[in-house]
Amino acid sequence: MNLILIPYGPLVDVLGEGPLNIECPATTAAELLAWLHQQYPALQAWRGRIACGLGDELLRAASPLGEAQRIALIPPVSGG
Amino acid sequence: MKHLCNGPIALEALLACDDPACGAALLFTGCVREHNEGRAVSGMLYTAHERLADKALADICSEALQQFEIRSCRIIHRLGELRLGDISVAIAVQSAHRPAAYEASRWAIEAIKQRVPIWKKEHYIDGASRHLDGHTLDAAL
Repeated sequence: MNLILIPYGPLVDVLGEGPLNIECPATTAAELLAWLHQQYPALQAWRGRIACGLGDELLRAASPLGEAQRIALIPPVSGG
Repeated sequence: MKHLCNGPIALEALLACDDPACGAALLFTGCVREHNEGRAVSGMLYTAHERLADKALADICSEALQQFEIRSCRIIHRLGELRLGDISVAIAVQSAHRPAAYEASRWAIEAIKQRVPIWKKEHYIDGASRHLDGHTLDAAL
């Protein structure tokens, strides 16, 4: 599946500003993150700490992904 | 975006009140501090997922109104490059009596730190910069 990834916060330091066009076998948000951790070992520090966003919604683990969707990668937040 | 801005926060507008039932108007502001974890800070960059952040801040205002005996809750978070002393976030709460305003304001700033997709990157006087570690969202996988 083709997806467009948009990194945020400290993930920009690892993945660049984006957007990243990727081709991956993932069909759910959880599968996407598992694939990302395989492809980018530098993300190890964020294992279990990244949420996925689509539009103005956060995705659940089993949320299905669609072709050419723009997925936001949301690391731990530090506003205030 | 209703709850985000890229310049100085308009505090007077945030605190304006035409509700005669309010006997308390409380303003909290968070500012860029000159030191953190033993390092001298020269400034701060705030970035956000703007759609999600604006929605999360709106949710926090709505939840504060439901959870506390307050009449209004307004929150504005600033984005972009800020200097020392600049206000990064402002929370204005109005209520009939002061205890509820203090409780709601305290709750709101903690909720912002835990739930809103905003990130701070500190700049130091030695020229280095780094993103601060933060709170993992409940939706993290």
